[in-house]
Amino acid sequence: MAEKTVESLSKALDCVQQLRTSVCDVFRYMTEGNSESGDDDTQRKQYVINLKETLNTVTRRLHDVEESVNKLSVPSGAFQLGNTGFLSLDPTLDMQVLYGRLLDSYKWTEKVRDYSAFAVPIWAQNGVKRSQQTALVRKRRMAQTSHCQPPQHVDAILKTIGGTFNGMQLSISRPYGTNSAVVQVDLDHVLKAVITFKGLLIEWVLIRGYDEPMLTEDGRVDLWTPSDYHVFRKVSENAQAAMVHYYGPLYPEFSLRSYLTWIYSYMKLFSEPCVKCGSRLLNAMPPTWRDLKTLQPYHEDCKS
Amino acid sequence: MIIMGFSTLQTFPLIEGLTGPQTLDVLHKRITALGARVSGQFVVDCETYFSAPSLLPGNSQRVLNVLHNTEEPASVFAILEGGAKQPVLVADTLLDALLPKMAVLYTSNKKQTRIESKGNRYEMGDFVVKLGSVTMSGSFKGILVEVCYLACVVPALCWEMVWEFMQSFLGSTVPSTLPPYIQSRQNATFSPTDTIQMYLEKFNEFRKQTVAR
Repeated sequence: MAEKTVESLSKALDCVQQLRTSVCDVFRYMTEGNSESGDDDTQRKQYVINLKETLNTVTRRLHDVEESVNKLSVPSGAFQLGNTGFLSLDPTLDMQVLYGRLLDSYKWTEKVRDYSAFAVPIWAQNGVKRSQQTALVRKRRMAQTSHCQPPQHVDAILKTIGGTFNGMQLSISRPYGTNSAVVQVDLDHVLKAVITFKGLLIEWVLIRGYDEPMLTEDGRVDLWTPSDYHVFRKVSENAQAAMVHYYGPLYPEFSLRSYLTWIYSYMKLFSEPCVKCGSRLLNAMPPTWRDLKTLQPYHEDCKS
Repeated sequence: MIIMGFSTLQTFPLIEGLTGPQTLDVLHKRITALGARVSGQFVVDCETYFSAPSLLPGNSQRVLNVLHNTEEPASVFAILEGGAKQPVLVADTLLDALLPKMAVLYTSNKKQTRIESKGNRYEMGDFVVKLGSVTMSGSFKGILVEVCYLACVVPALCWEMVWEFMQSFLGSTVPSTLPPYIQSRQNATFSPTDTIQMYLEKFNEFRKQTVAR
């Protein structure tokens, strides 16, 4: 039914278009006038005949238009917009404009409704949202345990991980209660590190030289005094930055292993050249930065 | 014993056409241009004592070298030469007072045998550089350059880096291999006695030089 209406409408519109064209033809013919300037009667007559013909075309087209309009079915009723329909009947000029605007906005909201109806099934097919929600739930459950692990478990993990690095020795002490382990790391003859754990989470790290004392005068592990050497103060800074980078309460063992691997890459602190500038020294400092992913050595100024 | 990084010692030949102090001045300019700053003076001196003939059978003689280093101001180093081994004694400064009382056993001619390396001490990051002019009995013998890297105690681990640093102001005079004394103990922990032994080796080389420039 709707298709038929659209068809007859488009036909009617075509007819109107043709009528306009024929009317245009008439006026053009008239403006051009009789090109021949002579007083030839035959020519004049011919001109009039042609004009009549074009006028006839106009009449025919007009007839067509009337016919196609008659064919069109009268719409069953005006848009039913409730009582707002009365707005159009308001004789005040201001109010008449309102009704047109109201119709526009009505059409616009109709379109929005259609588009959203199309969009809903497309978005429903996409499953990303649902998987993210489940990941969040899992995170919360696992995060609760990594900072409070039984000391035997922490010792066992540290022993296992520490055993995989040749030349790196870990010694564990617990001067501040059972839940916080203080681990002294001896990396060959290169450096010493002191790492403080809460459960399996790394809380603090400090790097010192091989010949520097790791205990305070009263025999406790010294967690705070920075190294006397420029190079180890810089490595300490970087190690603290890496500690934040490798922080992973979800997978504490994995993050601990990654962090110790990163520290282990300082094994050749004094002998490996910077991968960017190719030299060992820059501003009297060896490459003190190790890339967090590739573990390659960089100078402080070469890393960016 | 205090461990104080790794040191290497080498002689620096005089630049052609320049005297000793002028060559030292050139080195001073080079190293300060790199960013090093002067952090005082240093002296390493060596006095030599000879054993009395009655001390050892068969007329053999032992030589006792007594060295002082301003890096270790509270210590005196005594190295005994002439035997199969070279024992090193690290003692308090009281040893200096004791030696004159042992004149019967070990005698010395201080004016002739005293040799010392004296000059500016420079610091640059963790590096310490000492540019010393060597004088024996008051006459100039040559230039000794000591480069110390405080943060590393094993020569094999940081030699290449120290070599790179030395090249930056000493140029091509730096040998690419470790000094002979260190080569045999490059994987061991370095100590101040090693530095003193290297000084003694260099002092002995200077003593053997017949012509002083």
